Amino acid sequence: MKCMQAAGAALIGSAVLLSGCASAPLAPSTEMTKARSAIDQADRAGAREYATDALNSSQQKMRQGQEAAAKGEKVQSEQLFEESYADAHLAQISAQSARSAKDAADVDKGIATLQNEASRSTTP
Amino acid sequence: MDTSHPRVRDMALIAAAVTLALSACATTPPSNPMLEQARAAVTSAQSNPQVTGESKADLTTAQAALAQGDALLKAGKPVEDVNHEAYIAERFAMSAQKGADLETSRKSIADANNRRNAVLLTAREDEAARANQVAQTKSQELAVALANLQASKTDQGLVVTLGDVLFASGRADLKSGSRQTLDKLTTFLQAYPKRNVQIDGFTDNVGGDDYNQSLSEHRAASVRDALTDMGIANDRILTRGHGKSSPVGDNDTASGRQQNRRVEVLILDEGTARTALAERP
Repeated sequence: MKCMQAAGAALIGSAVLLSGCASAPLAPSTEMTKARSAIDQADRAGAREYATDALNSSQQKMRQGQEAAAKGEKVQSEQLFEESYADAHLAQISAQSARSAKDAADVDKGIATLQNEASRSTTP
Repeated sequence: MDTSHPRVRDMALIAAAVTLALSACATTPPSNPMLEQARAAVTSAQSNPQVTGESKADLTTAQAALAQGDALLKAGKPVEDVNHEAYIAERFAMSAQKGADLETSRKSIADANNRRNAVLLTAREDEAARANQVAQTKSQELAVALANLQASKTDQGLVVTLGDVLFASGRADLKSGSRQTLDKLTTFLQAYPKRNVQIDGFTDNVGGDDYNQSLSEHRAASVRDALTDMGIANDRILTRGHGKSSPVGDNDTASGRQQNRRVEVLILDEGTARTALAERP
């Protein structure tokens, strides 16, 4: 009898565990919110133009993460959201860096022009 | 037991070798290609001296993920988990590098004004040096021209004396010998159009005051006419007669009187108006 009870408890326990593992959709996690906001920031920084690959990768990981979350795969979805965030962060900084490099090149060009004009006007 | 027995010794050696080989296998750290790729990215970011500030924080994140990946691998955790840490590490290492690039170009832009000013300053210095050079050349040329005119420095300024043989006694017309000096003076006035002249006529003491005053004015006028004939504008010239006052030679001797029959041309400083001339003594 005692043995039966123990077996029953174990059965119920494992059933609970199994259903926990199976497909109850997960609520939006902080990882997802963080990644989504990083994607928005990257977009605003011009990543669509200047860091296309990283931004695309980030968005793809976001979709995959959401699919995993819908299936209740907590660990996998969190990993994907983290990777999505890392991509978005890289996309944002890459875009900022590319734009800033462009501005710096314009400034250098302006100074070179100034230098040319100055040396021309002082050459007898 | 005799351990030096050949068979026993061989067996011991073989056993030791097998143990070594097995233990070598067991302690060789497992390898993961993504983790190695991430390690290379982190190492590269670490050796970039521009990785500071915000990008330093990204490098720290990358290093932590790499360490976590190593730990998971060593603990025999699923390869997906190791790969995940490797992915995070590599991406943050790349972010750190990009952040360093961003900082570099931002600094360059912020420094633009300084660089612009440096260019302008150099240009101004060059311009000043050139102007100085031009001024020096001009002043050398002037010195040569004045030496050529045999101008002498006096309290009034530079004076060219058209003396000696200019006029016969009682005459105001120029002798032909004065031609060369007048040509030089004309050349000078053409080369320095901003310099005006004052022409002062003088006589010896032969004759009355009114006569000599008139004669001295006529002598100055003769020189002026010679200059205007050669194209010097009339409004650059002021003439004055001083009669027999201000002799420079002894009127008791013939040579002294000849020295006193003279015209002096005072070359005025650049820009001095003809009408602003002071009365000469």
